[in-house]
This record gives sequence, structure tokens and C-alpha cells, in this order.
Amino acid sequence: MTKLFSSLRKGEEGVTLLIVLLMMTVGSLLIVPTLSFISTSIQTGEVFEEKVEALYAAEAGVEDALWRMANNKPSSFPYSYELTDINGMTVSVVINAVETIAGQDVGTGGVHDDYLIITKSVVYNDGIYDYTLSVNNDGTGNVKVEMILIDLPPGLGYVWDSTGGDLYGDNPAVIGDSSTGITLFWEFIPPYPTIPEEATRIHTFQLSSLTEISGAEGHGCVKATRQDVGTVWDSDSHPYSITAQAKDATDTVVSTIRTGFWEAGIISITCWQVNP
Amino acid sequence: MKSEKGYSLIELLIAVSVSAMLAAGASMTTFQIFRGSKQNSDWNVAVRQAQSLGQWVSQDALMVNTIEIGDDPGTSDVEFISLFWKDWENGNTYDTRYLWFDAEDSLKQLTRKQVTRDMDGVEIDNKSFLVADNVYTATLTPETNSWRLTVETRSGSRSVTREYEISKRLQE
Repeated sequence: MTKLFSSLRKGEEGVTLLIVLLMMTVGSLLIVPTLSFISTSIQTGEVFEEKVEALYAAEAGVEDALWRMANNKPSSFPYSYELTDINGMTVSVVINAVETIAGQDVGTGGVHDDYLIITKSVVYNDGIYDYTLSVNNDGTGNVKVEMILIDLPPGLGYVWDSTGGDLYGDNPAVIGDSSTGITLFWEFIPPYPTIPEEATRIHTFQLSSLTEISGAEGHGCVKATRQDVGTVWDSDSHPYSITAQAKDATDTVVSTIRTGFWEAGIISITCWQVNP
Repeated sequence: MKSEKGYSLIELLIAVSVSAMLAAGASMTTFQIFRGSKQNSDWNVAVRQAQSLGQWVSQDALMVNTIEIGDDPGTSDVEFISLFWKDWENGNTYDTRYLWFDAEDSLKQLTRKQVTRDMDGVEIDNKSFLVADNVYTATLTPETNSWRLTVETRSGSRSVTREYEISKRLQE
């Protein structure tokens, strides 16, 4: 070995090889961490980019579903479909009729909804809203009111002991607080208040608010029964939910958006949750 | 000194000066690489922190019913923003606050603290984690149908400013 090395360097002069070897060693020491740093940076950027793309893809799914509800409403629910190649992802969309609001079972919306006509009005005066909900029995036969639910926007509070009107309701269950919007829930006990055929009954209460706000009447729904047809359910607008999931090439869910909205000709979004 | 062999003085001087030039060049290059690497690293740190805050606030602001900007005197923490929203169906409410830490330093941390309560107001979840470090300033400004988040982060000699415009998703 030594012989071979000696024969190789025989007659050779200079230090070029040594310098080149030295520079290559220094270079290789520097290049490894530099490449690793660049690779980590690119990977982090890609993960971040994919998350943002997935969120936008899921939003596109929600927008598509809202468009369908406004222009080409499905005839039955739940209604599921898929959108392909949105930001390179597949988006699964489910539109559903909501039967639970604020943890309260409100039943299936729109059952015999032509039997009940719900109207609501609010009058603001010096920090207080006077709220009137009218329920008209437009069917044939008496109906018994089992439940009234009012979903309100943020900034309103219920004035305790303010419930009045023809249905003799007590104070409602107040769910949530004014920062997120309260939901008022009156559950009547048997024998339920009765609304005779073609009659209108009003249900009144008061809300407190520092200022006058838009949309203070919120959304209301009423569940009642009629002896011959069972549940009668109506609201001034109907509650729905949309769930849109953006999935990558391996079918893994990267981003989910869940929305809740009231629909009555116009759509009013009241809940929007990202990756709930 | 007759019949001396080896390098002449001139050869030696040339060799020394060439070596000195090579050494100077190599050390300058190495210094530049390390300095560039440190600046890149600072830049990356600053960008990541700004992006992290931007991503979390953008996501949360999409969901809110109400945003309160600034410190909430009702708590011992120092709030940057407080966001409130609810799950429409099950009635759970989410109280999410971005809290300043090391508020006296020029570079601060922002932590996201979220308390989830059920429909009866009972706490069912409480979690908190660091969202962004090296934050110099962060402001949230309400606009007609959106919010504008401006965040400036700093690391070493690098400073990064990012602006996010977040659309309101929920009707008021």
C-alpha cells in the first residue's frame, strides 16, 4: 500500500491536490446542512399551502351548496354530492335539514307547514324590543302548541318575566349569551295551549339591547300537533346545515367547513365552523 | 550559500501572497455563507410567526358572532382580541382569546386560549397554545364587511409585515 502510494506521488510536486481535497471537505460540510435547511423550509411551506388550498376548496363546496339551495333546491334531505378537482382535491358536500337547534329537538321542519302561518314583529323603544310572534291556524281542526323556539342575533338579552300573550308561556330556557346570540325555547306542558281553526294567537316577550340592531327579530319556529295529522311544524324560515369536506389524493380529510343557515327565499347564515 | 537548492525569495513571496489571497477569498466566502444562512433563518422565523398568526386569526374570524378588540378588563390576562361563536345545533359556545405574553418586551408572544362551554354554560374543554412568537406589533381593524389583520414580526435583523383581509361570513 505504502509502495503504491509512493509510486503514485513519485515525481509529483505541488499542493494542488491537497487544496482541492481540503476545499471539497469544507464544501461538503457546508452543503449538507444548507440542503437540509432548504428542504425543511420547502416542506413546511407545502404543508401550509395544502391547508390553505383545502380550506378554500371546502369553502367552494359550501358556496356551491348555497347556490343550489337558492337556485336549484334539492327535493329531499340529506342531499349529498361530490365536487372533483377543486384545487386538486375532491370536496364532499352534504346538505341536511336541521332538527336540533341549540341542543333542543325542534323536529322535522316543514311538516304540514301550510297549516301554520308564523309572523313576527319587533318594536324598539329606549333599550327594549317588544317582540310579537303571531301563530295562525290555517288548517282544519284545532292545533295544540308544543314548542316555540326563537333564534336571535348577538347583542340581545331576554327580559326576565316578560313573556305574555295568549299562550300563557312561562320564562323560556335561555341558551347561550348575548355575545354569540341567545336562543329562546318555550316548551309547553300538557294540556297544551290550543289554537282553534282559522284563529290567531300571539306570543309576546321583551328583549334588551343597548342599541337598535338589524335583524333583531331573528328566526322563529313553532311545533304543534293536530289530532288527525300529528305533528304540524312551521317557521318563518327553515333551518339547514351544509358540511363540506376537502379530501386529498389519499382520501384524507384536510379541511372541513360546517355551516348553519335559515332559508326562506333569502339565505341567512348563522353558523360557520372551520374544522369543527 | 553556494550551490543552495530550494525556492528563491521571489518564489516564496509569490507563494505567500497567492496563499494569502486564496485564504482571504475562502474566509470571505465562508463568512458570507454563514451570514446569508443566518439572515435566511431569521427571515424564515419571522415569516412563519406572521403566517401562523395570520392563519389562526383568519380561521377563527370566519366563525365569529362577535369580536372584541383589545384588553378585557374583566380578566387578569392581556387580550389582543376575544372572539365568540357558537355551534348552532348543539348550543356549545366557544370563547377564544389571543393573549399577549411578555407584554413589556418589544418582541412578544401570542397565545390562543379557547374555552368551550355546553348549552348550560358548563365548561367542557379548555386548551391553550402558542400561536406566534417574535411579534412586534399586531392590530385588527374592523372594516365594512371584513377585518384587516396587520402583523409585524422580527427576528435578528429581519422584519416581516403581513396583512390579511378576512371576510365576514355570518350575517349580523
